[in-house]
Amino acid sequence: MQKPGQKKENLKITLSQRLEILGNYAKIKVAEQLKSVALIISYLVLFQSLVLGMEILDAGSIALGVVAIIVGLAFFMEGLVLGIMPLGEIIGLRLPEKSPLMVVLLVAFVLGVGATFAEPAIGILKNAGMGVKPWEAPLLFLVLNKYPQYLVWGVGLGVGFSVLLGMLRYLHGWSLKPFIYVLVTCLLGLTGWAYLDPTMSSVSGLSWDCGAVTTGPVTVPLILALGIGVCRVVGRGGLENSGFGVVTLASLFPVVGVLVLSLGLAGLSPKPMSREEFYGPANRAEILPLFKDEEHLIRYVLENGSESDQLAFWNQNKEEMAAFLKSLVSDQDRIRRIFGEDPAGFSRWLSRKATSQQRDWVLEARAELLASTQGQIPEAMSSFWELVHRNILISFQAVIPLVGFLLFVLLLVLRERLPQADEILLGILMALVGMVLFNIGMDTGLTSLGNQVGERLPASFKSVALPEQKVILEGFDEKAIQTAIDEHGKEHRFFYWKRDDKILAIPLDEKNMDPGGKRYVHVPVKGPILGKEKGWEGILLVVLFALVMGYGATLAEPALNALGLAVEEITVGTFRKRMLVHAVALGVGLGMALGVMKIVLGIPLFLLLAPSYVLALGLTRCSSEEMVNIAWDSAGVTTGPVTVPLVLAMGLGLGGQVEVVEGFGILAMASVGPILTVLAVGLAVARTQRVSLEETSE
Amino acid sequence: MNRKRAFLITCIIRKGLTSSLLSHLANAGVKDYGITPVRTLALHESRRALGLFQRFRLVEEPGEMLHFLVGPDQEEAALDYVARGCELTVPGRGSVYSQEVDLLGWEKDIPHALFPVLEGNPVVKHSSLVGICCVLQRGQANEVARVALDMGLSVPAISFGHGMGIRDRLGLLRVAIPGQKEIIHIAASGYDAETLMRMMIRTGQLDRPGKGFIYLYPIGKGLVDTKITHGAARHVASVEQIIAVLDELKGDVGWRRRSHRELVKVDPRHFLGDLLDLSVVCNEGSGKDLVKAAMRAGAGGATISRMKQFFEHASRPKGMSSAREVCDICVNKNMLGEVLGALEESGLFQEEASGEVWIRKALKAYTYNPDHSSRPMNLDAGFSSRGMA
Repeated sequence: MQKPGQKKENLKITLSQRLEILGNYAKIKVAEQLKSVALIISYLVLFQSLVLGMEILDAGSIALGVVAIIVGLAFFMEGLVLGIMPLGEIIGLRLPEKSPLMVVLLVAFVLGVGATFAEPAIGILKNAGMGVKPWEAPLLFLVLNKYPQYLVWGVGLGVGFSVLLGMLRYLHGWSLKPFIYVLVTCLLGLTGWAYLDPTMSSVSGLSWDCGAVTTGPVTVPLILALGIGVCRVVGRGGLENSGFGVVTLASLFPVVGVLVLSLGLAGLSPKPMSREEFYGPANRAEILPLFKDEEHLIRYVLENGSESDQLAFWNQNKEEMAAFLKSLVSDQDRIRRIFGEDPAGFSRWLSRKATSQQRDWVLEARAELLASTQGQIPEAMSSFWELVHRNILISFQAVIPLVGFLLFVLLLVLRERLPQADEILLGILMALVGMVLFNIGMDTGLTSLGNQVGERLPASFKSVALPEQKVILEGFDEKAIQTAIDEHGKEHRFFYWKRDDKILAIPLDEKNMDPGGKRYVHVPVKGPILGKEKGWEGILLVVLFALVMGYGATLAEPALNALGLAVEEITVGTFRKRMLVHAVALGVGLGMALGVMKIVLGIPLFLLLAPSYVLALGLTRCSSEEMVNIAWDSAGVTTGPVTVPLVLAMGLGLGGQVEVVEGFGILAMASVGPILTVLAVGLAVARTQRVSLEETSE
Repeated sequence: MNRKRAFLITCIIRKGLTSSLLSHLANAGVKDYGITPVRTLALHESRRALGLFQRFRLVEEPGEMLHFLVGPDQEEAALDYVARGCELTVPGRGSVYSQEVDLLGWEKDIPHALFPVLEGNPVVKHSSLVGICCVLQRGQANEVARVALDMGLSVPAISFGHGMGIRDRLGLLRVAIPGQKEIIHIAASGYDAETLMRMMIRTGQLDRPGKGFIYLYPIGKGLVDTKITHGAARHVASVEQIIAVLDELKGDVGWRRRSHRELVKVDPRHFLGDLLDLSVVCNEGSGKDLVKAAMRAGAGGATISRMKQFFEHASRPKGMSSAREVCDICVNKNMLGEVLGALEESGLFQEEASGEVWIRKALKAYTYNPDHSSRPMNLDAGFSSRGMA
């Protein structure tokens, strides 16, 4: 017991006691994250091995990646709670008290725009856009491939304006509801109009997806904390603004931004056309605006066109194509303009994509070119250090500029000192370390696992070729080929293959037959696992898969966990983090299931979005202001670094197999789902509370 | 430093009633008040599933705790005004009670003659009320607060706070020990309070290191919410209503006393007496430094909770923020001067903190005390508890 006047200094404790404290702390934090990722990891592993019946490739590196994800998430979440959120809150507390309105709004705007550039989730959408076919969706191709920087600016300005408007809302105590009514109605109107316009229809999915991915795992907690801080010093009694709602606006305004941008670019884009028209020389002038210049068009044709497409491009004239390729060999400058600055670009195309004839032409022109580059074709697999380096760069880019800007505002604009500086700086460091580990883990672990499942997923409702399991049958003899007939009398050729102790009937694919070399390349086919080709059972399996995957991945989202913590804190535990996270996860799962149905069955996005948002508007009307803020914010935070790569893996896998124009829209549906579930849960909770209050009023 | 005597009126009401309370207070002219969000607990009677499930389920509801100060002559009028205005005589709507406080650093005048004297008998009569405040690790309050419901005493309210104590003397290693706390506020009849305190000590295992801290404080007058169960009523009046009428007829709650025996034995050596509860109210962000200063002067620790302060626009002192922190520090009476000196020295009354101190009596307190324990000293000791001076 301390005697009066006795000074208390830091406690002296032994190293083993320190280690014991740290050990307990680490154990608790890691166990929390283990729980949050357990479902998605075990689900993907079990689905791959039991349902799809395929072994997991690179299991060792995936396991290491999963460990890195868990440890990384533990660090990152702790860093958010210790460093990033307190920093945001301090600025929120001090800014409105010490600065004029203009400064508050300027800081908010810069923060919003900066956040978009710091966490370039849009890069993910650009990747998703690589599969877009320019003849079917020319405007989408134009936006994603020629003007991606405009896209980033469109989204960034949208987010900046949202944060600015969010602050104005807090300062004046405005309700979020009117903003939602007006914005969503306008957006649905625009999307509906875009749906009817053949050129615009393809970009509506992209614009809603952009809204969903804008807010990353650093931005969301920072903006939330800032809002909570501002709301603690402004406002009057009885008002329910408690710091939520900015993320909502930051998910809606970018949709406006991208739609407006697309409208602006629509004039530059040709009308959708057929594949033949696109590659044919007649429309060359019309399609050229889709590319930066002619070189980019040529590169697109060389890399993405089939043999007949390329022939069509060169006027069905083989000599012309041969002459062009031969001329390339001696023109290094043109190679650079076509294949980019990467010196191996041309040889990579030559070795991977070019037909044997094209290769021969080039070889003929310059035999030594291939000889000199053949040994040096770069491997696709990046080395471990490259991976670490890249992820350190991404993580620093996401954390340092935003945190640096906030520290600048605090120390130099507000001229305040940083309270608990050691704790906050430690938090920022932990967030950085966590993010690096998490990103490395995502790259090597979850994304790889997700890709494996995503690629094979279509096997559940249709047959899918498995090229990596191909077998070369030496000594193949045409005499072995047999004929089978179907019920219409049509003949089908097949042969018997003895594999281990079994004799299998293999349908003949003449493309794989090399009669000269007496070889047959057999590519095994998997599926459909359930029911017949494109049967409803298999589609149902895919939809169910998307539901559970969305649910599991959402549980692990760091931004959602940060939102859950903030909600629990503000409501003094009456709305628990666990309840919010599970409600949101269910919503994402349901949304993804619908999104997958959109892709598999080819339902237009508008027909799914419109009823969902109309329902959401109805629920919003009946809900309390606080619940509306929380529910609509949930929509913005759900699609983060865990969900997005998995959705893309699944979307690309499905999109590639079912021949859709574009695979966008899953994320948009995954955003509207949580709005509905959280509002529904909120209404149910409010109803029990209202009943008990009514019991007491006479 | 100039001391002023006043009464602190505390209302704990359901969230749906806040706006009505605020408009009543505005009509009376109360413009300075602080609001802290709380959750209140009740038991919900569920009659389902063939009795396989727990019959009484704990339900949490959002509420708000509102504080304001009145002059000594206004205590009864203020309580009566609030209780009638919000119909707190109907069980289940909330509680209101008063505490005598000494104010330090309070620049403004204590409001006098705000509340009209209402006609008829005053509805707030219970004297002999005792307040219980219990600080626990985050996540443990429901279990401990449920004791008050199971004993049929009153509706507990829980707020969030942040503990400071030995944890803050560990340097940066402190981040490894969670500092978040839950604070239980209960007002109960003085006849039952000590039994309740002992049962809470047992349920919360407060006799173990690092578990928490509990203390009793006197309440002047008040009206306590007794609606501890929700569910379908099967009689024309609920038990709570009958109790409320009996309280009113008897003019006191002494008739409710059920037993003289102490239900739970707690080693009396562990009770601490001669205490004062200092609530240091300051701008958010200043609390930790002030508590550190108080700790250097001998205070064992503190619990810091957030409060949103509302002012009449013109009366807002310069530098005072709406975001305030209330740092509750329990100290021995003979250490008061030293702790106050340390607080003043570290800038409590200056513009940056714009602080004030409410000094209230505490009746008795309990926490794990290694000096009185046969258990070996554990490193956890007092990490989360508000160690006593």
